[in-house]
Amino acid sequence: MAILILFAASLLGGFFFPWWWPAAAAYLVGALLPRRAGSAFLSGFAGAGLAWAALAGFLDWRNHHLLSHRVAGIFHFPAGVFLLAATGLIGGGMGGLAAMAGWSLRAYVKPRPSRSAAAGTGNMEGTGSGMREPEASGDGEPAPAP
Amino acid sequence: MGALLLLVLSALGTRLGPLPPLGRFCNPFSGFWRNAEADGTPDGQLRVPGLYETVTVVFDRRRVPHIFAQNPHDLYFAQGYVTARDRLWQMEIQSLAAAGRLAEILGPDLAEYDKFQRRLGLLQAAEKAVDLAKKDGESWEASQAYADGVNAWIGDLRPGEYPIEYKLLDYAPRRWSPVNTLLMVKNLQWTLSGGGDDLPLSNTLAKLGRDFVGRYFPLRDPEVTPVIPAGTPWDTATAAPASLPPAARTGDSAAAIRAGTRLLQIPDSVSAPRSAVPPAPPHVPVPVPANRPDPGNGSNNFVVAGSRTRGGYPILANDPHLDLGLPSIWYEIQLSAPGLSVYGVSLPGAPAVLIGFNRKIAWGSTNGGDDVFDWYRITFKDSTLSEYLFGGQWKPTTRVIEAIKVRGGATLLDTVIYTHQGPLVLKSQEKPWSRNVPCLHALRWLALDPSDELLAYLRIMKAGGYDEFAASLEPFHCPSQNFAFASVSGDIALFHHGLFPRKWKGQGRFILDGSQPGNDWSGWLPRTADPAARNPVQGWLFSANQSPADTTYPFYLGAQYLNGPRAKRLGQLVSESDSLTPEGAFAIMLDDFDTQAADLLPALLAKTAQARFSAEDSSARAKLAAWDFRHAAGNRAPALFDKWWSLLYRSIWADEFGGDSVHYQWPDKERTKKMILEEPNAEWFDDISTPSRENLAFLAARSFREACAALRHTPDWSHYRPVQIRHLARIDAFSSLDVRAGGCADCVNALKTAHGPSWRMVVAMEKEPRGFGIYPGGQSGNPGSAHYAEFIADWAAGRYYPLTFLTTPGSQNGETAYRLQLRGK
Repeated sequence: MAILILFAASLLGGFFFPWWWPAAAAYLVGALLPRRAGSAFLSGFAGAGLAWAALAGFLDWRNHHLLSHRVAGIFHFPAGVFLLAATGLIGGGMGGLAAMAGWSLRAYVKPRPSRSAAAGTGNMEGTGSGMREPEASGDGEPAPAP
Repeated sequence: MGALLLLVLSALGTRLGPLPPLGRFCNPFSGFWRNAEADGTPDGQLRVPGLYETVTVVFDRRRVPHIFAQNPHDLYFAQGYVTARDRLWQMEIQSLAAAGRLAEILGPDLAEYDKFQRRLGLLQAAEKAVDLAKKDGESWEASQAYADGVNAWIGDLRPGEYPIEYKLLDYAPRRWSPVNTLLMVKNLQWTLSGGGDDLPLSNTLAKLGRDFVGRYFPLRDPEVTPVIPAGTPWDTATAAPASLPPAARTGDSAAAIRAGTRLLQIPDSVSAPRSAVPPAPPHVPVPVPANRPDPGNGSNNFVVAGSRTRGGYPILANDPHLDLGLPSIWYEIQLSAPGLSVYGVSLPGAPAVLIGFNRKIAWGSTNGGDDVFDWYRITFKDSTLSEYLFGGQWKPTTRVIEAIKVRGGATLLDTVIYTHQGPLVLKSQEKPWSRNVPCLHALRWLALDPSDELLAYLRIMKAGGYDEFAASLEPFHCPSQNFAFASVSGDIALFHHGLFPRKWKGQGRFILDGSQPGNDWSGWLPRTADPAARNPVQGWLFSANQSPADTTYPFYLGAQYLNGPRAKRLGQLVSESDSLTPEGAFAIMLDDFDTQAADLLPALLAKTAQARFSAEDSSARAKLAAWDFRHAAGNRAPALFDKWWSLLYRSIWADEFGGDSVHYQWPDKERTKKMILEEPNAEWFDDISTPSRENLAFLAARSFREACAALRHTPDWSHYRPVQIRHLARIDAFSSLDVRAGGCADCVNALKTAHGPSWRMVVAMEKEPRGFGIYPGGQSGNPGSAHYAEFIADWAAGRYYPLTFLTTPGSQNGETAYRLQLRGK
């Protein structure tokens, strides 16, 4: 769920806010949703990274890879697809790190939320019930239905 | 954790060494991905405040804009707007480079470059030119409207829409002003009139004497047809040539130069000028960066009268040879407004069309090559450089302080010293920027005087015939050009035109003594003294940067004309074609025959007939013997010849000059060829650095073996001389580095590695003129556009595009890609 939220937020907000917007979104989401640092990172990484890579991939496809091929040369990449990966990694790394930073803020404000209580996220708008469960698996993949 | 996040974010938002800010650069919303242009642009309507009325721009399939405006203001406004749309980064970086403002955006590494540009004074000259344009009115209005158009485009840009180079280098476009436009003009003047070998030739004179220079640096080659045919009458009644100053009259200018050359290496503690110093060659410390106009900056043009064309109408052809770059120096455009409809190439950053045609006339130009760039040796009273000797008296110098802003560093202040002649480009002990810039010398350069070349172009575009065209040239001062002209009404003409200083013979060919008033330029030749020809009996005219006129022309204009094989070959081809077609004109422009090789190679082969070669070298010799003297891309023989000839040339002259071709001017290859053919026993063939006595046969055989060894792995000419069209910021990934094409420096198709035909144009002056053209680039400056390097393959293959001249915005043809309506309200 956090991934989906971040994916959507990164994509939509990107058109209006500065380039570091996914970090802000991930920080917020990281502070509110995930239970563990690892899952915070993964949801931030995948949400922001996939959003960046997806849009870049679309623009690249529409351009017949003309520009990515040229820019790849500047960075000594053999092909534009590496640039696409780099874009995903930079967006993702930034999102993951920000989500983790957000999570650690919560950890700092509300140290060690107990597994059952999880009071820290009680203020999320009505999605709380679905949020906490999947994090137990800790793999950061899109949340399965409870 | 939060601190780490901030650290990472700030790293992603900052330039790290040569890397752009990665986060900013890679994000797909406003980073470089946004420059990945999609196919096809739909028709559109845009509101562009500042326009008086609606402007329609029709883009054809090659993305050439055809602008239809209802008044001149809107025309140039729209030209600025669409040019900025395609070429904003290029225009800005070139004008900032000319101004000496690169450190401002690129950092401390460029501060030295900026300093040199400021010393040259292009920025000051551009500002003076703005003042003149304001007085003239017409060109000022055009430049201002153009600037408003550029700024309208910039004003609507969000950072995500900036050209990719801004993102790579992490800066933002600045507002455009008419000064930027004038800087583009100044830059062209620097490229085309900022050459001159005064310094290295003076060194050669000091080293080898007057006889040597007189013999091996002839003012003209009698085998070359001048630009204006022999026998053309000169209107010289209104002007008298300048008289020689006393020093020159005594015939002792060489001695005067030799005595004076000591000042070229003078240290900061300047001594009184009286002491007798032994003659020493002027000295410029190495290394010298390649920051000087290419001496091969040349061009071809020719016009053939209807009597000598198959269709019975005149044909005009022009190909300016310039540094080849991406984005290209040219931007193709059609401009239409009431009273004006013209098609051709424009200079991004400046209004008007520089080479092109309208419905009545066509024109094109080549560089005139006259000497308007002279150096004066200055005798300073002391090391403060505050007074200098002139006419027996000490005169004060003037000082201008230039502030050079540096990105990420403190502003650099540089004091530029001026004598009445001009700026001191190098003070002593400074790193030289160019092999032709001496230390502690003042520069007298025409481009630093105010002039209004733009006005000439604004008028040319509207000219309907010979008289109007000839009158339009008046404000064009610098760089002098050979303007070829043809009209639908059947006229052909060639004007060798510019503003010419009145000079005594040889004035400014060598470094001049700045203390002698007789060495100053003394006024100007009147316009009527221009060498020019209209409708000559022979029915054709051509120029290839050769001497403008024969020996009967009474004025001295300069001595650095390219009287080379190219002019000989072009003259031959044009004079021999008696039923020319546009296709025939293409073939002339693409001709890759090398007359120098044709003259020289048989002699060299004969000279080496007795020498012993390995089997491999002998077979290479056999291939050379069978060569047709054409520099075809896939042939190996031209590579072998070029290498052989270059090595031989070097082995002939290197010993005389200590291997130094930077500080000394060597006799050129054409003159050396003549020496080989006519003076096979000249003393210069002996290598004076060895005790034995070498001769031509020995040097030729040795250099042939060396050439064969050097070319073992070179398959053909196009690999020996690849064509490389580099991005202006030297970004390889944005360049075309592997273009294969024929042609050579001395061919009519004067294609060198990074220099050559930058625009090939042929216009058939039928009832409705038909144009053909191509340049090695593309209309878009965006490396992410399919239109970025679109024409290069066709250009390399020697193809031409028919130029679509639209008479109305509504004219339908298959070439239209989309339309933009720009509405002011």
